[in-house]
Order: sequence, then structure tokens, then C-alpha cells
Amino acid sequence: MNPVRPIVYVVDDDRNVRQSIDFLLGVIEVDVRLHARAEEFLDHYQPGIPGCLLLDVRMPGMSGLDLQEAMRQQDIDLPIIFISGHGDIPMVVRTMQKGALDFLQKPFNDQRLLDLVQEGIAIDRTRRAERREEIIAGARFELLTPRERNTLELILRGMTNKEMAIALGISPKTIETHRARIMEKMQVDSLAGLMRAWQVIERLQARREGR
Amino acid sequence: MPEIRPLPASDVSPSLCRDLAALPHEDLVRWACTLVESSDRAEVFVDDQWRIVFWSPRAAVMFGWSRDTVFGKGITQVVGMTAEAGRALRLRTGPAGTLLRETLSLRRAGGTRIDAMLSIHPLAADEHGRTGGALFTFQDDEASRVNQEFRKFFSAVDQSMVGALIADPDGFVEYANPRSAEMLGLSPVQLIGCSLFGRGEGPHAPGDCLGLLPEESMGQAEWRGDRQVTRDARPDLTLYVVLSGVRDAAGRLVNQVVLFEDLTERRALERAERQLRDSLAHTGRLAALGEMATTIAHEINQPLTAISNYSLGSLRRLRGGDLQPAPIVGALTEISALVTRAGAIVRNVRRMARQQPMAILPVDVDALFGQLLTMLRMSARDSDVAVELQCGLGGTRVLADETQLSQIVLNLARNGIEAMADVPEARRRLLVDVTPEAARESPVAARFTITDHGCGIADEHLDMIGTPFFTLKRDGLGLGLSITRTLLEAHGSRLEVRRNPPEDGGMSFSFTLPLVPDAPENPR
Repeated sequence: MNPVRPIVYVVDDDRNVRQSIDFLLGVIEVDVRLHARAEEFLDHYQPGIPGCLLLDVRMPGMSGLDLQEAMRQQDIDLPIIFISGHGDIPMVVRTMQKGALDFLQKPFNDQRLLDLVQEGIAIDRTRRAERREEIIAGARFELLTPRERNTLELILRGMTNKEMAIALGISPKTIETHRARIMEKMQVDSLAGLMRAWQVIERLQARREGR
Repeated sequence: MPEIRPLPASDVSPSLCRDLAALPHEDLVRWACTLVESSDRAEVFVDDQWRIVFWSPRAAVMFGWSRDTVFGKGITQVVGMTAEAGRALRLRTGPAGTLLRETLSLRRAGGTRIDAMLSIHPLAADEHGRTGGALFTFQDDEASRVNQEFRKFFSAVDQSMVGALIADPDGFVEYANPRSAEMLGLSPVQLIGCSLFGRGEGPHAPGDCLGLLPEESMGQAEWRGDRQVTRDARPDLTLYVVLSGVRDAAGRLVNQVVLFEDLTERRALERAERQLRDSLAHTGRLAALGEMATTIAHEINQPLTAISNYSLGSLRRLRGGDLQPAPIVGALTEISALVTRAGAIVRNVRRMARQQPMAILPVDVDALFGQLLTMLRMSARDSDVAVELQCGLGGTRVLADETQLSQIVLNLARNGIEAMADVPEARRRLLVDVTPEAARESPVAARFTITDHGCGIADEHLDMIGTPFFTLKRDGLGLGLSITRTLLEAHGSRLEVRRNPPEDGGMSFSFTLPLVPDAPENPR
């Protein structure tokens, strides 16, 4: 399998710093996009491709912190590695509180930069996979009828068919049928598979409620 | 001839009285008459009614009336006093009848006026106790004025705080005032006969040579300049010496007058003041650097980061067996350019941090602006201010101390940048420009103007601007502008503060510096 090359975005107003990071990243298999201004990044961001963002804290115009906030509002969930100079610690702390992956202090160690970039990309890939999973599981869940959803809830509570039949006031035979339909619609073939699918849906719901 | 009694003994010395007493009465009268008649003052005797009984020849000349015409007439009337003035004079002489040295404006025959000094001495009463009249002495004011002026002039020279020597045409001292003696460590008497020059002439030993004047001034009528004079007591004496020749009507040099002043103390004061100003300037620069420390560190850190990335990236490639030269060559080229960039910042900082005496030399403003732009862009970076430096001098240089000029421009520009912190971003523009300015005369100056579009300065604060420790900034020390002002004064310039037209907003600070005149091979 040869997945699409991830994109590392570098946003820094200093041309030399920008280009030298590009040179450093040249040793790993990534595409690098250089931007002098935060606004420029927002215009060129490609949502469909995994990657991460190396972002300077201090910039004229829109600062690194401003961009982080703008990305949150525009639902751009890209891991951010902040680059800071001296004396930017309070700002860095705020970025970390707002969910930045990590920060690098200039001048930085190349290994740490590469490790963080790889980690960022990996996190982004995982996140994207999870999102995809959530979307699929969510779509499947939407196919269930209300009665099937009730049944699913009871299955997840660990009830036997007989207990469910009593609880719902229907025959064990009908419960059997519902159960088969749920397994079919959710595209799972075991109770364990169903539990996993449910966890994904719960995660999706938690995230939606959290927003 | 009326009978005349001798003057009161108090006016004459005891020995003269003895001599006079020994003379026969007739001789005495004749002697007195001769004395009175030959006097260069107008001597007039009056009786107790102030009627003229004697009128000396000099009085006849001074007032233009002959003896016959005035005999028996009232003195006050004859010399043209009004009846009222005459009465007043009489009152003022008092019971003793004495008046000393009163200058009056009197009238001569024919109506012309004459200023004369009048003294009245009462004469002794006769044996019957009747008042014996008085002696009026008129002295022509012209003569007395010359006399007084001379006395005034002489005492002025004698008491002057300036050393004064009068020498003959060959430069040998004939007169020395006390101050000159004090400064040179000799007595006035010792100074007589000394040579003004450094080399002994004639009978004078070298010790008698004051060295107040250089040899080349010998025979010159005029010379002035500073002289280092070595005296035993004062090894470091610095004098400002002025020589002027005095000539007679025929143009011959008759005397040489030398005036001199001790500059040692003044020079020491000037030196101390200069050192103080230099160190104040230095302190100001250090304070500015301190305020900019974070910015400077950041600005040096940027190229260092890039250098680090390029070198680590190159190592990684080489260690990984990637031996393609092109990327490595590119990286090394970038590294060397970055080192230059970092070096320029370090040089700027070092120049600002250096303590050095003020040296006014031609400065290339274009090159200076190149260096300043780096520093200013640093300051302006975080505050999103667009900084523009325009030099319209076309290569002509200005006369200034380069470090202090950078400091002045940097100070004013940084103030401007800070003043724009709270205005909309589009307005945050700082302009530093230099334009030639034609003065009234041919020399042309360069006008530096630093214009911001900031919050401006309120009227009530405008007068306080540049006062030490006055500040409009939250955490300012209030020294920047006062140092700037001091430095400009040292350059013979001054800071002009102007409020921009309301549509632009903000303030303009400007000053002028002289331009270096055109080189001789490039005449106008």
C-alpha cells in the first residue's frame, strides 16, 4: 500500500527560517508547503490530505495564536507544532492549553523536529481514520428502526434474548429476528464487533455534544 | 586789589604753614595772588553777600566776562544761575558755607553753556566776627572728565580679572597689573623688564621670558590665540592671549598691550562636560539596547535557527549516503549569507554599546540608514508598523557623530513606533526622511524629519517634552528625548516638535545638521 504523501505546512514570516525548515524536511517523505502569512495558509489548506502544521508564534498580522483560533472555528483539525523564539513561553502555554501537539524552541534539534512532524502526521492519519469510522458507523446506525435501536440498547446491557422478550413484551422469536437485522445493518458478525461499533458511535455523539 | 587772608590752615600742610608764616605779609599776598592768577581753574573770591571781589584770568577765559564787567556783581547771576538756583545753592552750602565738587551747567557771555565743577570754600571771618566771604573754584568739566576717565580706566586695568601687560615696542614689560602677576606666579615688579616672547633678548636671562606670545607674532600689531605657558607653580597653564599694538599719530609702534585670561579651569570644565555628555549618551544607548534586548535576541536567533537547520539537514543527507552536491552547496551558500546577516546585527549592537568620545566627521546618511533600517524593522516587527527611510541627499554627507546620529534617529523613531500602538493598523506608518535645506547663506543643511501617525502629544504636555524624567509612556524612564535633545545641542542643532495636520495625525520631530561642503575638485 502506498498512501498519499502527507503535507507539512510551514507558516513563518521569516523567509530564511521557512526555507531552512523546508531543507530539513527534505530528508523525509513529505510534501512541504511554505507560507509567510497565516491567511495564506487558510487559503491553501487541503482538507483531504493528512499532514501537520509547523507554526511560528510571533508573526506580524495574524499571529500563530490567532490562526489556531481561526482553525478551531473553521473545524480544521490539523495537529499544530508551534515554533517559538525566546520569551514566548506564556504564549506557548496558551497554545498548548488549546490543544497544540507540542512546541519547538528556536533553534531546534532536527531529530525532535522530524519526530514531532512524524508524530503529528501519524496522529492526523489516526484521527482521519477514526473520523471515517465514525461516519460509517453513524450512517449504519441511522438505518436502524426505533424498535431495533431499543433492542440494541438492551443487547449492549448484556441481557439475554429471553430477558429482552420480557422487557419489550414481545416473543423471543421476534427478538431473534431483530438481533439478526441489527448485526446485518451494522455489518458486524459477533457481539464483540457490535460493541466496538457502538463505541465509535458513542465517541461521535460525545464529540457532537462537546461542540 | 582787595585784602586777602590766608586759607584755613586745615587745607595746607603744617610745614607749608610754618614757611608761609615766616614770609612777610606783603610777600604772602603777592605769592597768593600769583598762585591764584596762574591757576588753571577759575578762581573767584566773593564777599559774604556772594558779590564778586576777585575774578581770576582763567575765570575770565572760562566765562567770557572781563574782570571789570563782573566786579561787585552777584556770582550766581554772573555765571548764569537763576535767582532760584542761586538761593538753592546758598541753602545747600549750609552754615559752614562749604560745597565740594558739584557739577553745574552754567552760562558763558553770549549765552553758550558750559559744564563746570564747582567747589566753594568759606574764608575765615575777620576779627569782628563777620563772615569773610568765600573762594569759588570752577573747574572745566572737560578737563575733569579726562582726568576722571583716566583714573577710572587705570583702576579698571589694575583691578581687572584679566591679566594686562604693557610692553615697549620690543616686547619688554613696562607695566603689569596684579592679576597678570598672580597668574604668572611673579610680582608686578618682577614682571617689569621681562620679555613677552619665549626667547631672551638682550640682557634678559631665559627665565625672564614669559613666552606669552609666539616668536612669529614679534613685531606684529595684532595677535590672538591660546598659549600653553609653563610656570613653576602652574605646569599646565592655558592662556587666551590678545596682543594689540598702540601707535602714535605718525603710525609708529609705541607700546604693545597684552591681555590674557586663564583658560585652564574653563578647559577642564569643558572637558568634564564633554565626558559627562558622552557618558550620558552612552547610558542612553545602553538603556535603549536594554529595552530592545528581547527583539535583538529574537533577531539574532532567526538566522541562527536557519543556520542550524541547514547544517543539520546537510549532515543528515551526508550521513544517509546522499552525496548529491547541489542541495549541500545551496545550504552552505544560505549559511554564509545568514552568518553575514547575524554579524550585521551584532555589529550594530556593538556600535551602540560602545563608549567613545564624540567625533564629528562626515557621515554617509544612505549607508547609516541601511544599518538603522535593520534596527528599526526589529522594533517595528511586533507592533506591525511600516517603517520607511528616505534619504534625499544624493550622496552628500552630513557632519555629525555617527553613533550619536544613529542614536538620535533611533530614539525618535522608536518613540514614533510606540506612539502608534493604539491606532488602526493601516495608519501605523513611520517615515524618516532627510532633505537638503537651503539656508539664508550659501551653506546648506540637511533636515531630518521623523513623522509618525500616532496618538500625538497633548498641548499641556508639549512644553514638557524632552524634560528629564518626564514621560508619556507607561514604563518609560523619561530620558530618551532629553538625551536626544542634549546630543542635538552638542551638534549645534535643536529638536523641533510639530503636530501634524489633523487629517494625518501624529507628530513630527525634526532637526538639521550641516552638510559637508562640496569637495574642492568639484566646485559649484
